[in-house]
Amino acid sequence: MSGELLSVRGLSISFDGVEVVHGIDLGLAAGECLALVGESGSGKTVTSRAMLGQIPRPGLVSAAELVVDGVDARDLGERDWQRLRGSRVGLVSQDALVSLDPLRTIGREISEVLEVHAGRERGRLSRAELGRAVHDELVHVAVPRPELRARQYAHELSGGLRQRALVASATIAKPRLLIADEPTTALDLTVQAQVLELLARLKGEGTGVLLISHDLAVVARIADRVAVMRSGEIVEAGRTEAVLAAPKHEYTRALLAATPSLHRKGERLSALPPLRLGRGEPVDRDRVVLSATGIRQSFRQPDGSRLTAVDDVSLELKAGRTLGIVGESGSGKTTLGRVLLGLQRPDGGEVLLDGAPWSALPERDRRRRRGGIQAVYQDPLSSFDPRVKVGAILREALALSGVPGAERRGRAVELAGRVGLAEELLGRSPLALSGGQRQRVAIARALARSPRVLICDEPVSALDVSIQAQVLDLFADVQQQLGLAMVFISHDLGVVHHVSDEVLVMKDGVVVERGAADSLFTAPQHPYTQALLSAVPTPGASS
Amino acid sequence: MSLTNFLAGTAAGTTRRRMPIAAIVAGAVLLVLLITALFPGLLTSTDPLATATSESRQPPSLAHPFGTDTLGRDMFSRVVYGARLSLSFGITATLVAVLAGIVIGLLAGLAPRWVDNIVMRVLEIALAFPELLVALVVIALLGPGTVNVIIAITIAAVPVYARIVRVTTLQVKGSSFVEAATALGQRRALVILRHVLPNVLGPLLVLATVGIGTAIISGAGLSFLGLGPVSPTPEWGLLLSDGRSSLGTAWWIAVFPGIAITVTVIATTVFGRFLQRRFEGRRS
Repeated sequence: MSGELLSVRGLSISFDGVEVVHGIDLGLAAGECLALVGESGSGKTVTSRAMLGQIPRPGLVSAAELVVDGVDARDLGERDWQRLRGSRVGLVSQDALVSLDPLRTIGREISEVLEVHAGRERGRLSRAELGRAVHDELVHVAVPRPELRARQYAHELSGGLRQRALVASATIAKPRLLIADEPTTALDLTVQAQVLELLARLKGEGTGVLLISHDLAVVARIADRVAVMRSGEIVEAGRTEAVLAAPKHEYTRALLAATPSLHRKGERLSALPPLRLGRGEPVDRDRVVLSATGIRQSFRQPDGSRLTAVDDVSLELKAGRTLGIVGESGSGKTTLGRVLLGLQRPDGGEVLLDGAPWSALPERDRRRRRGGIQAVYQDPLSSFDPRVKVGAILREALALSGVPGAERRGRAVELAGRVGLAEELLGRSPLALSGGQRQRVAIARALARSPRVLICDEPVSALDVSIQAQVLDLFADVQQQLGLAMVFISHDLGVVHHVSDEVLVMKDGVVVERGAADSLFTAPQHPYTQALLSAVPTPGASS
Repeated sequence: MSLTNFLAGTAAGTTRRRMPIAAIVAGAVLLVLLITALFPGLLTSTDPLATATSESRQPPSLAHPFGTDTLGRDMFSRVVYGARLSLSFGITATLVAVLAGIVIGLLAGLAPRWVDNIVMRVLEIALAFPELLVALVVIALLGPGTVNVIIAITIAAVPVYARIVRVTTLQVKGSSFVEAATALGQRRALVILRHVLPNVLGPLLVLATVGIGTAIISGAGLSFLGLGPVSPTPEWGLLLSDGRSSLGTAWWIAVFPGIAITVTVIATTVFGRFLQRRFEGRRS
């Protein structure tokens, strides 16, 4: 394919003789946005790095054609690449906190790019000139109060501002091509929408944007064309609307199918058959298993003031139902989850489990009843002791449920099988498992205690869409067959809508809206809920 | 994982790194030293205490590889037999100090904040003085003697270990897997025993290996000053001190015990650092 800014034919990249990317054709014109979409390990990032000459040793790049902004980039040396990077190709990466030097101010960070490139072309710029350029660029990327921000350090900025500062450092030398690698992945929904808007505006100004993303919904918002990657190859490419509306390749279809917001509530997301977990006791779906009244929790901040993380929150969870809690980072949803689990004693209010005191108990008494309420966390890996093997993780939980030592091994195998884990994985360290497998181990561990309530804190946020679909299906199986009540905490509205019967929307520690999932998502009352919903990118609704 | 893979710091199947020759040599030296300390009779048949005035101050020869001292005692045999006491200073003191450090560090890390504060202030005061100085003060209080030297080095070394145990305890205590174990309903004592302690031990054992070297130097230093075992007991620090006055006329009396101390300390340090790198590589 050819394009004015980027023209790639037959690009292959190999490491130690293993081809990780094969036969890639791409083209990008000015004022256009091309999205490379794929799950982790699909080769999308390494492909984009080839356009920056940043393939680490011992990687080998070969291509029939690799033209970057008019320059044949196939045989460029490191010095030639340095001239190209920043001035003609800019890079915005995922995590602005690690991409920005913690010891330098934002202003210094941004001006360095200009210093390097302008210095090369027109001689040194004066301090005042640099300052003015940085100021203008910060204004350009819509950073409010640019004079102040330029003097601050990366950790003093919010995620959204930081990401915009990173964009500014990529665009200050006015490159015609911008590579954005998962630029919104770590951001809250409303902030994500702002960054996407910024990228769309840069595109409108004539910059060519190569967007790398795992998220079809994000892509749909700004990309003109999409290339779907899997295992180092492009399996489907075309105009965004066409690909999303009528995907030709089965993988694209599977990816789209795994997106919760494209499904009716409760429908299966993955192609995997339901697991047989065995029947739990029948549950009375009107019985309240977990309730909280007037929960209040504050923390002392380093400067001595108190931050109210959760402010007067009450909730009720009935047997076999799912309560979704939605909010952006800092909304207090995780703290609320910890209070419900009895890991944190609230400053005010009370939590009742099965109608009996829970949060007010001393830990010694609470411990006896902990089996009834279990948790699944966002990052399963860190919730496992790094020295312990999968089998031992499950056996510890079984031991706590009073399973005699001789039976534990067999029961662990059975438990693993129920959540779809092969027996041989029991001998492995969680480190050697994939993200989806780890989350299955975490679910198996929770189930080992035969809980009636499961608190899930962002359980699928770290997973690829197709894996997320499988794990969400597993949760559905668990709930339907064992009659578990779940509290499902997430920032992802699509996921929450899919799994929840009832939803709480939290902002700054306060519940701003609550209601049945369907009515809340179709007719949100509170302005914040409306803003959140309008910020949700949905595939198929292209700009 | 095979031994070579372990030493090379790689899991089976991954690309091999360079073999750490220095660490292998250091390990071999430590092994020889350990055998020497346990079975000195294997290396020499001469009695380290047998005097022979006629053979006073003989330079190194085939019969006496390290020469003889003022009383005609065989220096090689004295250095060999000296290994036991010198090494046991280092190993015993470090072992006891590590155990005490674990107890104090865990308590400080898990106790209410005010207990932690008191313990930490005391440890910080102790840490403000050089280890040898603390040891000297302890000796001054207890009086000289072999056992007292060990006690003194132990006390001087405890704060370092207690501090690292406390810091790792705080880290591990706040980690998600400890919280997960609590949420699972595990008893607090078992959470500490199964999940906190083992994760604290790793970094500590690495530090202790390096610490043995320091403790050996402290022990030899105190003996050198005449505060530990008394002549004619063979101990490297004491041997060094005995040979000091005749350094100009019979260099071998002081130099060989000195080399023994140096080699031991270098070997423990090199091996300790190697363990540290291996360990940190595994954690990341």
